[in-house]
Amino acid sequence: MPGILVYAETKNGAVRKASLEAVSEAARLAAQLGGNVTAVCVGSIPTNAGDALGRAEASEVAAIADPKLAMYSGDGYAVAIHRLVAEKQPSACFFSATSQGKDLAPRVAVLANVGVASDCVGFAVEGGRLRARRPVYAGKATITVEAAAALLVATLRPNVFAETNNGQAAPVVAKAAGEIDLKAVVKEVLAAVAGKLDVTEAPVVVSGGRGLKGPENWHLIESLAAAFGNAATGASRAVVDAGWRPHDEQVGQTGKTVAPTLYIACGISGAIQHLAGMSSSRVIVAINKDPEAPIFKVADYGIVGDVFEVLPVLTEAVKKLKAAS
Amino acid sequence: MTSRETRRGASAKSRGAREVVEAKLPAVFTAQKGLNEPRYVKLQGIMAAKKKPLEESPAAAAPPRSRILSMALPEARQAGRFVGKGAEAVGELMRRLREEAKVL
Repeated sequence: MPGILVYAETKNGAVRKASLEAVSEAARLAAQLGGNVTAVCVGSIPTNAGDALGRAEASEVAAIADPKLAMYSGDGYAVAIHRLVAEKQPSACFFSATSQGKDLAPRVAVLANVGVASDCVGFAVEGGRLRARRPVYAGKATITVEAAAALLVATLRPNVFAETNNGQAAPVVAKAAGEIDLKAVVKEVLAAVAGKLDVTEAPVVVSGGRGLKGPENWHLIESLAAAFGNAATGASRAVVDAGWRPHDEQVGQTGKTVAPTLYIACGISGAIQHLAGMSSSRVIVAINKDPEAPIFKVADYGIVGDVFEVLPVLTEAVKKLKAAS
Repeated sequence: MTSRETRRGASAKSRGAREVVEAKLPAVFTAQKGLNEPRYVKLQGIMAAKKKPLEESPAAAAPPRSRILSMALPEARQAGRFVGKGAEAVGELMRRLREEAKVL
């Protein structure tokens, strides 16, 4: 049976937004390819999985609830998902390009003996076959690929595909995980910093660069992010290398790739390696005192000015707007 | 990382969350940037490395698992506009983000 299988990643008892986006894109493609979209939940199944994934236009939800898979395990999850792939023989298997998806997709592809198209930003159906578009050479070019085999395994960049809502719930079908032999076991999870959004998934990203002059001024970035309420903070490589910020906040070629609705670059000159990580953002705002800075070439809106003067005023303006709405 | 029969590693996840993983050896590990301070090689080490035997193995390409159909330049972003200079440009920026870009 043709169709598309989508891995639905969960966090804190809910399906992640990036997975809903992947399901909606899969539904759009399945309408052209034929077949249904099956969303796969593994481990602990959110109580509203059928509802949330159905609204994003999945036809059914396969729930693999095995106590062995209660904690994420790359090898265990891959074996369980691959069993479903072998059973359903879909024409594609989608994951979000999140840290979990990036870990799982290649494992499933190896088990299925096919390739992976990673970090895809577009799909098309040509002659009944699925084609994926993905950036290469640090975003300098995009290539269109198709699988040599009948199955395309792909990861989808978060925030690029639209999440749809058809208002319908999907039936949840329990599936057995089968025999699972875990090679690596998660012993414990050390808690994350509470309330901090992941820079790859936040709808708004406020990033800082060397223009901030020192880690003691980072509160300017954090205050602006806090004023938005739904913003994550990012950093340029210079700032991470200098030890001001941890590496998991780095945006760019050797860091995270982000595509938020709004990206605000503060005191970032915009080296090509940084642009590689954020140029697919929907709207880019740049604040830099050098009018010649390359960041202004990709920015939709630019303010030439000192971040120390502009940021506090901008933070107040955002606070006022949020308070009014 | 501690080494016994099995090996444990703390894998860094996003937002600072970490997982402690236990695996039977042999296992494959990947290291994230910022794991430790790199050890810079001394000149003496570079000279010694030149005398080490170099073993060559034949390489064979696996059959490609995906086909590249075309390559293109990404859609160019429209050149941006300066909305102004300094803190007084904030009002204009907010207006454009709200009314033109509709992201607020």
